[in-house]
Amino acid sequence: MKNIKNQNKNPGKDSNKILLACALPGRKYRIVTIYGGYGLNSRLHAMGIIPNGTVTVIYQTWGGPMTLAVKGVRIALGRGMAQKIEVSEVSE
Amino acid sequence: MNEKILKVKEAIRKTEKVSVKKLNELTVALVGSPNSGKTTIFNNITGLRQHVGNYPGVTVEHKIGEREYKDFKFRVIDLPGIYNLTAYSEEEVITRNFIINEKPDVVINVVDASSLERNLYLTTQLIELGVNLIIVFNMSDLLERKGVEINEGLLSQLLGAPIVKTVGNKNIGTVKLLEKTIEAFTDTQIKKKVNINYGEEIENEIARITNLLKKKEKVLLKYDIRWISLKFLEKDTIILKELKTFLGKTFYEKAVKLLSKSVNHIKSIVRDEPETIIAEARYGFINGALKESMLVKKGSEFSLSDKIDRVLLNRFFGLPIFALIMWLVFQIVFKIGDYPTRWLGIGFNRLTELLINIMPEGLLKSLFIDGIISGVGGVFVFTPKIILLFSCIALIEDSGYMARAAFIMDRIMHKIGLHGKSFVPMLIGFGCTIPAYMCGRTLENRNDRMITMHINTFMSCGGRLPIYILFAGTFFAKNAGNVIFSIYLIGILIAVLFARVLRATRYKGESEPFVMELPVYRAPTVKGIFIHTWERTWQYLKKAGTVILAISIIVWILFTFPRIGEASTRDYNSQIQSVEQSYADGVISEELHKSKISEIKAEMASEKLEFSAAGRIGHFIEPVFKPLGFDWRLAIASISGIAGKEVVVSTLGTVFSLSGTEKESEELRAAMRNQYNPLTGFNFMLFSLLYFPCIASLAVFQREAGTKEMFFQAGFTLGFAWTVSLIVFQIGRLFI
Repeated sequence: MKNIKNQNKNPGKDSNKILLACALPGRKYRIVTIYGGYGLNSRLHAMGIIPNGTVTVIYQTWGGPMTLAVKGVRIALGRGMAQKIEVSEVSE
Repeated sequence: MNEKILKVKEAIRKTEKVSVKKLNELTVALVGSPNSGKTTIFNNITGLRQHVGNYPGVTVEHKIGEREYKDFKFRVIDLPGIYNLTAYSEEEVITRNFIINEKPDVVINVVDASSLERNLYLTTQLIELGVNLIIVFNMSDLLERKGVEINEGLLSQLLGAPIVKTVGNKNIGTVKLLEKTIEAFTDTQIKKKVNINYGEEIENEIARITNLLKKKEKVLLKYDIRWISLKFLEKDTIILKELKTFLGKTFYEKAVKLLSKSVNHIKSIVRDEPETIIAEARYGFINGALKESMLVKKGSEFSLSDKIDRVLLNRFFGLPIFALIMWLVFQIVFKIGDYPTRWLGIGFNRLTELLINIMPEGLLKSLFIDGIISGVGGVFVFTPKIILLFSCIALIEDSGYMARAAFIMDRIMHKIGLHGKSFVPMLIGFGCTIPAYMCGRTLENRNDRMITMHINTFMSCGGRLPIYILFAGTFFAKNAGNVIFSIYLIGILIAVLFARVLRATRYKGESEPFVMELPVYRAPTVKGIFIHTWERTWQYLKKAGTVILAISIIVWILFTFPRIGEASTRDYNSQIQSVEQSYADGVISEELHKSKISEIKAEMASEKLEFSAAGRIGHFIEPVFKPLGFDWRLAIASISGIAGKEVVVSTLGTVFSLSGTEKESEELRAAMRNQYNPLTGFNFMLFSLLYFPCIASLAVFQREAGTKEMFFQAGFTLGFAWTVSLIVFQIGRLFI
């Protein structure tokens, strides 16, 4: 995390940035940054995971993949991917 | 785009159409995401009038079906399930190229109506392509259940395409869809294309690129200029390549310069990659359209699905439940499937007996009985198992559990560099490698699929078990069970090792990122499962009827010719006659008579085999097998194993002059114990484990992965088996 440059557009809003891999089940998060290349970006976007979009963590296996609710669809996301996505919690 | 070019394009389209086909024939392409129910819609339209084709050079299959409705003849193509139209995966490229090059008259985009926001993402890309589009809102019954009301007219206007509501699994809306398709086909008016606004920064760059590319509009006629500019801006690898060939070097370089300037400009303003901004704009467009046309009365259809997931994906229960389901599949296929397989076996035996009685003695008879029936029959008898297996797989896939199985296995499979879904074909490989190869299709990514197929060889299939039982029983009497288990284990370890090696060398990178939709659990339809199963079974039978038939005949020729001289045949026959005579005279007992006859026959078979091409090949290649500690007998047995590993045991029986029935297997063991030591015995099991399972499996491999991959599979397994056996024998020898 240390060497990742801050790409985030509204720094003030996202004081509590965490990696999606560490997100808690049942909570809603806003996606801040995806650290991926063209391929991963396009794929995640097509599945509805996109900066400024929201996701709700449904199930965490801690160490394995997780499931998310994204735009009305359930998505399984591998841990490797989840470590490349930075989110901040949205309070409802 | 100006009117003139549009008219030219339209004119070209029309002349092409008139010259190629009659006016009332139309090509319809079905496009949609994997869980949209696209295939169900396809089945509803075409029924059983469909066949599977492969795109040349790739493994992705497509289905073509036909339907006549009113005066129109529909040729319907079911394109692979995709989420996106980038150049990122093979499936996406195929879909895109099909639309661009084949120019289907109508493109039907099937979307899951219960999650419109996500599903319409693909739709926006089809709109950008400028196709003659119809949007199918499938599973629209879920909309009502969710309490969602849609102003169809308005939404269709906003998206620039007619909308048809269907319920695929109840076959509702199919006729309406056909009507709309004809309407879209016969409507000669040029439709106004809806443009998605990507925001000022992107639009400016698109305009700049469009202006440049317009100069070459004539060579780019098959593309929509705005679309190709957009793809150019996304740095789409295939479009870049195509532009390079179409535009010529100098012009292309000019364009690339402009592109990098544009990308840098965008990044400096919005600090995001163009593809992200474009994706955001697409979702923005969808949200805008839905906000105006959709009324949601809050409700959730996920509650039940989520509740089921809480159990099936549970950290503690998930794996045991998955194991139980896999165990059940295994039992159904290999235990229950055993009965019909046995009945078929009995049927083939009856057929053999019938042929023995009605056919005149001679070569033709031998060809039918020893060649064709034992070869093709040996494959045909597996049909019930194939049917059961694919019914189970279809059930698992259609219910939505397959995605969950991948989820559960992902953690383990990920460690060996494979996708969670790879587990299922590997498990099936313990039964029979052929269906395991076919099951590899459930993997969407080509690299994952290839690795899974290549390492499946090392899963000990059922055909190898007789070899293990014979050799372990012969040389490791008390520890036979443990030795067999160790062979299975070695196979698994080598598979894991090879998965990593192949990933690091031949199928580098591009490991499918684990991002997967978990569809809502659904009750599968009987029709869907039937069509799935039938289609795969039919492919299997076709293979058995063609390639395997040819191979059986070749194997038979090798084991039959050249034949032993007439003199020695007469010699054996006279021996038999004299035994018969003494039995008839009452000199010898019935038991002695029987054993003498079988002894003579076995001797004759042994001589025949040694004299045949196969026997000679065995002697000829003995030097190759010598360093492994195998003599010509084991060499012949290995060669016969190419036809099927089960054959190895019966061939050994023949070379040791025994007819390999149960009664004599103790004699075979004794003969083998005289000839070989336990090291050779173990080594032969290892060798049999490591080289490809059988010629039929290679034929299926070729169908699934192409000729090149098939030769790679055959080559590396043979080479690897030889090397490992060499090392084991040469090192083991030092200790004995």
